[in-house]
Amino acid sequence: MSDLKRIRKEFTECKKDLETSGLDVSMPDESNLLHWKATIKGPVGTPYEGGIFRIDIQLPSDYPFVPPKMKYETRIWHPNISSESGAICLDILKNEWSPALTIRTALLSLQALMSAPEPDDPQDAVVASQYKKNTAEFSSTAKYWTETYASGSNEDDAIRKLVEMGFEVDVCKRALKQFGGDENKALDSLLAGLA
Amino acid sequence: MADDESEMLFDNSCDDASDAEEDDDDYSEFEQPSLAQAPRPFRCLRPDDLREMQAAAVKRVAETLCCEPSDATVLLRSFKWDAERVISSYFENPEGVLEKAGVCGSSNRAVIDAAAAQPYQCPICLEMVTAFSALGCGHRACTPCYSAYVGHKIDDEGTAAVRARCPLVKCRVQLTDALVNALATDAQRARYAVYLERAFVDDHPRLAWCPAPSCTHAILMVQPADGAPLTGAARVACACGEVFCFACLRDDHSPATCEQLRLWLIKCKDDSETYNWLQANTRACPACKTSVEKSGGCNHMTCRHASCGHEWCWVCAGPWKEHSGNFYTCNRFKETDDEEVKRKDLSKAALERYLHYYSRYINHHSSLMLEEKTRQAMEDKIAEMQALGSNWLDGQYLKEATESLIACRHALQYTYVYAFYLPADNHKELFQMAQRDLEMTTEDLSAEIEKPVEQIVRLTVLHHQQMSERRLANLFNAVEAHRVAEAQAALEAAHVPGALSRPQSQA
Repeated sequence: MSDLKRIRKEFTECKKDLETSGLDVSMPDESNLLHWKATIKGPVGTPYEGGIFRIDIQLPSDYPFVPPKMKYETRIWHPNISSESGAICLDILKNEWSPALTIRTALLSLQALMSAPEPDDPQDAVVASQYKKNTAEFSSTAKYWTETYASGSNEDDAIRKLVEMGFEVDVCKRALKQFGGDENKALDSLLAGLA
Repeated sequence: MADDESEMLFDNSCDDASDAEEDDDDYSEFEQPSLAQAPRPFRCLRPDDLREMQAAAVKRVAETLCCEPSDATVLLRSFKWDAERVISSYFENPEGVLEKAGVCGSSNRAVIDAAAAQPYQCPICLEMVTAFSALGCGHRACTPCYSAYVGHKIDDEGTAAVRARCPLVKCRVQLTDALVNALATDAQRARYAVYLERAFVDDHPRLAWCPAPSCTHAILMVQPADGAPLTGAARVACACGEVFCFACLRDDHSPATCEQLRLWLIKCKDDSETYNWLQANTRACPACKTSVEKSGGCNHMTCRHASCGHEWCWVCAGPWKEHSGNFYTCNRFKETDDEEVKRKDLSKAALERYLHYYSRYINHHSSLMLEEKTRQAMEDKIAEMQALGSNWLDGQYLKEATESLIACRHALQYTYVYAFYLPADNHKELFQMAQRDLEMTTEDLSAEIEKPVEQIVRLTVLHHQQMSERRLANLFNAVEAHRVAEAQAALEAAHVPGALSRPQSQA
């Protein structure tokens, strides 16, 4: 039985220092305290700078005695994160987990991992070998991935989805802006425009 | 921990804590290890004996180092329960040993369910609390959280709970059994005790559980007098009757080595050579699916299997009728080249070799499977003899003969494993002679005791039995002599160049 009181407390704590930490958390389903979504700002001075990375967090039923399950939803080019699945290789999310760690400290560790990859303990062998052999090439690939997948938060994502439905890019942008980024309302208006 | 270290100073400086793990033994290791291998002495321990042995080691360390028994337990665990090594390493490098083992010194005692002067935030439930428990490292958590943590380790992590650490981030201090027992529920405490006992036997290099199902005994190898490490197979017998090899926990397999037995079992399991050969050399008759080997001649096959008689083409497996008259037009025809012939010969030879050893191995093996039946049959015979007028005591020689027979068969099955892996040399010749002799007398013995009661001649049985036992001993002696000679040769080869560089430290 997980400690819901602690989870609620953690959630409020996380919300406190949005500005300084560059972290944000949310619960997509308010009734399910065990499923979180988080975003991490790419650390300054790394190829991830300027990117916003979405993380999916599942808290196991015996949290905090068992580590949370975290994975990147935003694609990222990093030696310790799978470029395919977003799976993370980080000791504190496995055997080094301690119940004194929190979601917030774990997310900060992820941010630190983005600043300082550990290519000797890789999750993605291709990225890790590139990181070791050709740092310049690694940086430019990671930067390119950041620009492609992690720039501009949810808005780009929404635009992409709407564009995939067959609307013009400019029209989509205008609609999204009109409804403050609300994807569903924008879609409704676009559909209404069609009719 | 120790009040007076000067008393306990050691003048050897062999290992510090960091390489203590590799450096398993004292200097006697550098002497020529004794090669003659008498059956190694062992003892069978009941659960009570195990507890006693564990308690004795804990007591020895706790008294010498003046520390808590629960800290001594943690120290012993990190040194594979070698009390002397804990003590000597500790006096060389107390801090290093404590840190490596995850133990706090005696000045920092664990605290169980105390009240803090000031409220603090529990790192686990994140509430402001005053009650706390902590290990010697002083990392506090409120007692309910600490109990939940300990309980989780026991309930969900199995034996690993024995090595659980302080719940704080990256703190390496080990939970002590005193703290666990104070915080866990009764059921968890009982489980934890079982885990501790299991870990004791698993960690201790000279202990092994008896592999028999539901047997709770463990076997303790007596430390060789010269301190030499335990290596290789050793036949041990548990009080429950299970006889097994201490090193690999499988059936006693002398004269074969653990490694030979492992390879052999894998080989028998996948039976790969049979498969390879069948693949390379035979085809199934298209009609009756019997494997057919082409021994020469043309591609016109006529199945000889019982009532089949199907005629077919080796090359395309089609019915021969369609080929009649225009054989050479079979479009898939291909002359086998030399390479392929060679490959087939090789795999056939390997298979035949394997089957030679396997059939004999499995023959003794299946005779052994009837062991219980044989024993029962002998009981019946003895009863029958009694009915014929001899007394019960007189019949007992049959029982002894049966046990000898079983022992011989048991060894014989593994002689084929041993022989299979022997290179063809003089030793193999000698070994196979000893094997043949043993096999002959074993069969004689077997034949004699299986005769009807009135035909059994006691003297003949005794004669065969003694011969068998002697030949079994001869065979083992030959194997042992060869092993010693080989080890000696290897030792000389390894030692001669290195002799100068090795420290000759007989201080």
